[in-house]
Amino acid sequence: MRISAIAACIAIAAIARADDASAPALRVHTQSLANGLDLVLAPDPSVSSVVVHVRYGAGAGAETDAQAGYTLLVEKLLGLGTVHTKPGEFERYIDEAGGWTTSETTTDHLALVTQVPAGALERVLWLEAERMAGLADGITEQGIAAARAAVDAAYRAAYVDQPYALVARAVREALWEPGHPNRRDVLGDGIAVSRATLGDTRAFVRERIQPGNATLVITGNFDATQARKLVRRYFAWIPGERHGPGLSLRHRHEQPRRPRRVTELVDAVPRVVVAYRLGYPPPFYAELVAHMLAGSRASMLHRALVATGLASDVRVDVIHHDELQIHVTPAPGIDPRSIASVVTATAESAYSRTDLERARTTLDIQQLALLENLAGRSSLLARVRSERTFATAREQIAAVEPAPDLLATRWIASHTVIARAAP
Amino acid sequence: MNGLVLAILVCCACGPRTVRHAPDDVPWAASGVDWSAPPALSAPPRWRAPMISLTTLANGLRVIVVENHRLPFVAAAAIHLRAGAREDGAHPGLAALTADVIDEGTGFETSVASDYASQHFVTTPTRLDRDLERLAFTVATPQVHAAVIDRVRTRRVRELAERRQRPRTLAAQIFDRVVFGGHAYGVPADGLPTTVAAIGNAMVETFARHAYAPEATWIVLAGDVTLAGARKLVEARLGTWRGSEHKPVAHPLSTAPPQLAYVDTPGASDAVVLVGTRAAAAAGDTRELAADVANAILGGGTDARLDRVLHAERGYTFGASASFWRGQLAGAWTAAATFRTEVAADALRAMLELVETARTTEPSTEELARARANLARGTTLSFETMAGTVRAVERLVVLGRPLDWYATLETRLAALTPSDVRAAVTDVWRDLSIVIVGDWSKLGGALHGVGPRPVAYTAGGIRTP
Repeated sequence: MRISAIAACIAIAAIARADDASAPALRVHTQSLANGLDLVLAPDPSVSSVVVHVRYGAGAGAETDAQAGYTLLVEKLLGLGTVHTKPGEFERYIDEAGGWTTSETTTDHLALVTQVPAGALERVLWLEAERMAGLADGITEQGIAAARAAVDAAYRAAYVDQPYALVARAVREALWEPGHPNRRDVLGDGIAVSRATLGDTRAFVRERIQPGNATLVITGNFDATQARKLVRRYFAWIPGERHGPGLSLRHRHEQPRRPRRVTELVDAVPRVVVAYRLGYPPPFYAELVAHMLAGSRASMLHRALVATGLASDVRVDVIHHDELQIHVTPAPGIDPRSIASVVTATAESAYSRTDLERARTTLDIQQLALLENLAGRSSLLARVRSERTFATAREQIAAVEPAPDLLATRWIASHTVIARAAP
Repeated sequence: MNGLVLAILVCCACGPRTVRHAPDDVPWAASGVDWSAPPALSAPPRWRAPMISLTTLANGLRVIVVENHRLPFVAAAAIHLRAGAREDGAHPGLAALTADVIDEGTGFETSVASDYASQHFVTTPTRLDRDLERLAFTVATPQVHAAVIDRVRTRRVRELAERRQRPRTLAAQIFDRVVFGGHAYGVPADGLPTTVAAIGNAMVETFARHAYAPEATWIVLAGDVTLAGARKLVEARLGTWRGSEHKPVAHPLSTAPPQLAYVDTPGASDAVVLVGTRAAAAAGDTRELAADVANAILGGGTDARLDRVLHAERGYTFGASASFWRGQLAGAWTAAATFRTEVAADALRAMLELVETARTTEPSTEELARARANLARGTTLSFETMAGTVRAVERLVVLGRPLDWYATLETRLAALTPSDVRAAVTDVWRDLSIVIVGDWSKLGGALHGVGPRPVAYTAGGIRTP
């Protein structure tokens, strides 16, 4: 099978480590097979294992209403048998090799990650290739019933039985307009999946689980030439076609700023969530602000809320790189509305250079720590793929300069949820 | 004609973007691959333990370096062997509160275990000196302002009170109390809300002054740093540090008879079961390694006996496992599982039988080989990251093991025989204590004749009269 692109090599570390150019570099090779499979190889002889990361693009965010929850349904089907493996066999083969395997569904991808001792690389490639080619035809009525039940259980746990995701749903629906991929719930709508037939599911799997929609990343202790041969052997024959923009996640268009909104609801745990949708910020902007606000006990919101006894805990999550969610657990007896006021006042105020530099340092080191871990490295490579972006991450972090009023002029939608515990 | 060709080409280009092949479209036979079974495992590249280098400063502070220059990244830990929870004396939670106070705002990851306290951080080579300066500030000149103590104590009391007491955690805490009695090993290292609330500011100041001392401190650095470079940096920041003359008081352990302890949780659909006993302190000898192998065979994972029988074969549980914990004064061994209430009594009996078989008969050579491989593989994985490397070296330091422990592990494992493995646990896995958290109205009668006479504990972990 023809290899349609020549491998590109970069020295990750050579660019990252301006302070010591003499150190050996971690090299990355990228190429694409004719069937559309993107391959990223990052050999590292200093470790003893390998990570195989298969990322299928276009996750839950690219589902139609009639397919709501199908990506998660596919994730639940992954271990329930293929054309050549019985239910549970994938995991058993990995266990036998002394490794572990996991999967993740998000709005923009379905990722399958497996780490094994280096001697089991070929086995994992065989298993992933067989799954890529044989998942659709391996789905059975029993399998789909089990997967539907698993998705239904996850949905019920989130929204019905002892709901824990009501706040997340309220925020999502307030920040993102109908039709936007970020508004899509990976758990679905509780209806579409229950109606999924064998035929519907197979058609969805054939569309998504195929080389043209996949990136295969291998990191760890392996020989790149040998790995390329193995990938060609196991994957190059699989029919595939590269997806066009039809499955692209981002619907990027400018939005006017909307009025700030507040919702009150009853949830399992009392908390205050202040969420911001940012207007397409530069890379690492949201992450840097998150660290400034709640990255340590010395951060701005910790000083304003925890040190003063108003709250017992505060954290900031970054979602999609353009959404910030500030979660606060109020101290007993404190009015949550006053917490919300302190949060917005702090997040939309001037900051000190110390706050900025502390956050920049933490974020920079966090990126290195992510790169240092094989699973984290493979995840980063699957997302970025472009060597240039990957190599300049630290430079981008160094270049981010938040607005003087932090989030005040950056947000285009903001929503506050006050959750009170059920009596 | 040319127009028709063009039209066909245009139609193809505009056609569906996705592949919708029928089952017959997957050309399995043409792939040239044998799909009947996955390829056999090939031998992994031989793993070599990284060099672990040690240097000692004039004030007694020891510095360990594991070099790895693949990235501009350094993982670090300061291990304080005199600042663990067993130095709390009559004030459980004092060591943990003090560590939290002196680290307030530093960003270090601070933890306090029974035998030691540690501060972890990751950094870059260029920032290492600044981070060591901060470390020196916390331990050599600890800041224990009254306002900070008040604030941290209030926060810790609140966190301890809010901490959800899961049945598994409760069972483990009661187990520690059963096998270690009133010794500090029998009390949670973080203390309890009541004990932490009672700690005065003067106690924190005294503990901070006495517990942190250079001769009881090890700095471990892994990553883009050399031994000479590290020594120079640490010497500059901590070389003049002098500890107090205080000598810690040894707290001896008393013997504790085996118990069947239970916490009644009416209506619970599951029962958490712990079976175990006190074990020897960390020794780092052949017998200890043989006991680890015996444990791996019995409860070291999904292919070990406990999980295979109780989970895979009989479906009593979603998972069963066993492990050793080793401290400087004593250790403990536990096997644990969560069973459905209706099968818990049968499952416990089966569990005890499996332990007894492992205690009295030799493992097969296949089991021994698998356990050796699993232990060796687990060790190599510990060194995949610099943070993992620091944790692996930390285990050597706190257990007093030689620095070549990992380098010689494979050879020492290969020398073990089935007889060594059985002999290492024959005396340890007898006179077992049992802890159960579950619906006693359904379990009590069914467990008649199992273990010692039952003793009730409250959900707060207090033994009832």
